Amino acid sequence: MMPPVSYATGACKVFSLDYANMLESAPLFARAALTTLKISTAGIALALIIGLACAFLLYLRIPLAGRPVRAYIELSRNTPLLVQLFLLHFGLKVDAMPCSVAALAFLGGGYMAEALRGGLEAVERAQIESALSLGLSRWQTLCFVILPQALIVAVPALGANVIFLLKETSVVSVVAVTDIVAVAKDLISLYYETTEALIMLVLVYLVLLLPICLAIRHLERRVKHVAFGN
Amino acid sequence: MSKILSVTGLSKSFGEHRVLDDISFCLEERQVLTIIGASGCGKSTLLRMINGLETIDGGEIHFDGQTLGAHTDWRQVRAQIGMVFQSYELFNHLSVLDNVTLAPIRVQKKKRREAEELAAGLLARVGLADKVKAFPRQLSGGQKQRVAIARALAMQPRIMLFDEITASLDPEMSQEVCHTLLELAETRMTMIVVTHEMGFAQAIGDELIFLDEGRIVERGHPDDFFAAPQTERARRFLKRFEFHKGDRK
Amino acid sequence: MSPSAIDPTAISALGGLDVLLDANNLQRLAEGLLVTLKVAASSILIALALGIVIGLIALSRRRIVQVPYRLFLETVRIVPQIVWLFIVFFGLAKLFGWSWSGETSGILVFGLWGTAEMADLVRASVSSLPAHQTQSAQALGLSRMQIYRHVLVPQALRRLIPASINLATRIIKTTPLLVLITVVEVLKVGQQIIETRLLTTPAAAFWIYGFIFFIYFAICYPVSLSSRWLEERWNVGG
Repeated sequence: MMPPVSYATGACKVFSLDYANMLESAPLFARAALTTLKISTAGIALALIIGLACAFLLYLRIPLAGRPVRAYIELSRNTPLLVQLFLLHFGLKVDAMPCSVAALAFLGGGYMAEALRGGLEAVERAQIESALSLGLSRWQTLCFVILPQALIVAVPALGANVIFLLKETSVVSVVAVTDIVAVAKDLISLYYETTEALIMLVLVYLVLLLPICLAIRHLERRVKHVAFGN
Repeated sequence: MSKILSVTGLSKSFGEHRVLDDISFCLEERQVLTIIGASGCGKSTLLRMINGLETIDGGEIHFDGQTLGAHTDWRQVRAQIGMVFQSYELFNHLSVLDNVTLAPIRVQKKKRREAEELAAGLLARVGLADKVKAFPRQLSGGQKQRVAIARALAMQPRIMLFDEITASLDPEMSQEVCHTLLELAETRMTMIVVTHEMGFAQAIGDELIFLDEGRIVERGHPDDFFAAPQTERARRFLKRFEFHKGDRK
Repeated sequence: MSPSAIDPTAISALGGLDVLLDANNLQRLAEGLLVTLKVAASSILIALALGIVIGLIALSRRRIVQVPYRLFLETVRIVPQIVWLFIVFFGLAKLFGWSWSGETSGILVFGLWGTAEMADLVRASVSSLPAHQTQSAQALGLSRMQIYRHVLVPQALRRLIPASINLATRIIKTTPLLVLITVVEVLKVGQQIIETRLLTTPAAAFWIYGFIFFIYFAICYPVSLSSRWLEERWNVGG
């Protein structure tokens, strides 16, 4: 499988990076990273809203809502983001940016709904009765008693979803969004700066993802302190 | 004395199973009513119906001049009828103080300061002045149950319902909670106490109801009931709590 | 309503349906799907085999095992898979002259990513078994082998199997990335068909991508369902 090649030249190429070139491409990557962040922030925020709405509809057993909501969750979780993007952009002619955000929200909504529903179901239903017996309204019970506890339970799953969606955003270049991957791909195919472009690609993603991963882990650890159990 | 709660001909079924059948009784203000009976006799269902947690199939409940039912504004009724559950059901994400102040702030729209002063007083009354800032997970079962009592009292209810509140506690903790209730009875709080503890039922009650298979089998003063139960079923029920050396064969 | 009120794009959208009814097109899509499935199946097999071995090794608490294991896991997970695909497909060719096909690169990347995830599932499913299970089995007088055979392995499998089926669907859902490294899989075939019809049937894209969307759903949904069914049957949470 491995074609015969001199390792010496390979090693040599590693050390003969064109640093000036990498520096030059930095602003391009920075702008692209901003685009990636914009899409993921908007997509994840919308996904959370959709997820919360779906989770509530299922948890409160709203009549007639169950089937469509479950169908949506299954559709979004069992199809790839890339195909969703193709369908939206080329099939339904949605512009690149709104289409990226919409596809991410469509995908993420299903995952967030499952995470939040899991959190809601983990709160004992008897807590509802005890809140009602104090005279709280149904809405107050949901807001002040059930939802906070559900969120605490759901934090690890929600955090995992956020990281998953951030990484999924890396495919939006297929609908001609100039994101990090698109910049790297251009540098590779147009200028043959393969090694430099790949190193920048990894670096930019590390700078983007590492702090967020660490922040989410920190949050998980803090939330663990608010342990449960009667 | 004035009548605050009256139940007439109340019945309830879950599917085929008739849980309550033709239950009638009255509760006067400042009176303590205890309800005893084997598990599954319908005691808890009765309390839950008074608090609107189960629908009423037949009969009527009158509270303070209004008939309770499907059209009742249960929020307003529940704000006046406190209930404490066997499994405490404290809100685990809130501190002890916040557990107690939640309803006064959200339902009665009290100022936080005012609610906290009230809560601190109540927590001191149930012997938990030092646990104000603690979270439920840091408390023992008995302490949790006393917080739950303070939480219900914070709404300054006209009636308190206690649903087997010592059933999941070990004897020592159960003692603490029973004493809290006895002290509450001293203050002439109107209450209905469902319990498994016979000694406690006798000590706290002004009147006692013995339920069996969803019906009231016997009622009267606790002292009379325990001294000389009138019915065969009550005698059989009370015998279960007696053990003799001869029982081991 | 006047005839002019009818949306002309609606007509052409329906008119595009014949793209899917063309036997030739369907056959080409099926061939593309076969490539997709080949990559997915190979990756899943690699992930299963290597993942189980590495996961069992990772049960050891020794530093010499834990440090490289954690490093492997975090390295694979930290960047999106498309970055790994680029590194393997473009990078290795440039650096070492290893110009592998897109398919091979895909199998390598998805296989190694699957391995890391699978290893973690194996490790987690065994190490999350409570210690009192072993203790109570010992108290019953079971031998070490018997404890594994009758107590630990069956319980670990009940956690592992649904989770690894789930991982398989995740690998399948990653395969469209292949289109970015020149593999002629189902999406690429779709693209080609659409290009030939660009002028005659503008709505072809809707039907073709809609069709591929449902193909993926038709593959992944039953697999997810089976995973959930097993999970519920064996009553393992989450």
